[in-house]
Amino acid sequence: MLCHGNVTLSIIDKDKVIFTDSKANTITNNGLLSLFNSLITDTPFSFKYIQIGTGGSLENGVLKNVQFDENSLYAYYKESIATTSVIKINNGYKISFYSEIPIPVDVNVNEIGLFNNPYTEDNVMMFAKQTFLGTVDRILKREYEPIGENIIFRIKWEIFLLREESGKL
Amino acid sequence: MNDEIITNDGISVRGDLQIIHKDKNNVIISKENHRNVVVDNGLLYIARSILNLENTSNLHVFIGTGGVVDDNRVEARPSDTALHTFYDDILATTEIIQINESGVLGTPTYVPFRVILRITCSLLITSYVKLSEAGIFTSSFNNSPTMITHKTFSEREYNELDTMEIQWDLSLGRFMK
Repeated sequence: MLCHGNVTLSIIDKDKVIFTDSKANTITNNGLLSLFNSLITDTPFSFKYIQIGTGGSLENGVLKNVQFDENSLYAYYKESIATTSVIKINNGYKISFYSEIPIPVDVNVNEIGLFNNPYTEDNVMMFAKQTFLGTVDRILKREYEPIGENIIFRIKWEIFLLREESGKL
Repeated sequence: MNDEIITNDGISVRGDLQIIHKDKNNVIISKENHRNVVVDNGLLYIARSILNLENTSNLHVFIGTGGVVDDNRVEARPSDTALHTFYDDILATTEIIQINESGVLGTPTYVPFRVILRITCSLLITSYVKLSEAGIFTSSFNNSPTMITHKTFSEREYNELDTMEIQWDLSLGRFMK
């Protein structure tokens, strides 16, 4: 299973998309475990909870490198339940997660993770994670003046289970 | 057609099937190793399972007699959904083995990591048969299960009271060698 993922993040202000970018994510060791555990467990997984956080960069602004053995965000801020779908593509399947989360314009969201349970529950497992240039930093870099006090942070997350081009799995 | 998927995260999956044929005195007649094919429906099942869209249960191994036709082996294909010719259904024992392998690869540092879903089962043969294929399924034959993997192999003649022992390892890992 060519198991990799991409996150596409957008900042939307009053229906106007002011920024969009895509990054490859990091699938964690717990994510790999979950792929097989999901086949045999009596307690099913449901990886549909997207957490966003503000701890994705160091004080000097350099993004933190996500480690494979991590199981949480660095500084949780908020979460949402994603809309999910499984779509057949040429050489495998794509699992899509979609969510729009309202955030204040002055909260610098710079990390994101995909989880099996709500933040407040026990037995939370993180499937994948990524850090990125924060929302405040993006707005400042664009020299954009937000219209209101809140913006929409839109997340499209895609996990691919693929076969190689040769037809091998 | 063997299966190994390699990702741009360095993540790959492969299936290794070992079949041991023993006679009624428990003497090993043959031991063979194969790579399997994870079929399309198996990929879909895994994808749906992590969203809790499938009712997972005990895995079963099916064995069959249709892997060889007119002395020619019929390759398992990604589009397969069933054995070519079903013979028997065995409830499998499963375990998850997590391996944090020593050593690092490349720059920046990558630590290898591997998860093995080990599926084992054994079948006592009740009458002479030529077996030539096997597959992992999500439930028993009567429950219309989904096939996850399929493998065909050269015909092996089993006599009454012989035993077929199967160990099927699905490995998912980062930087597997």
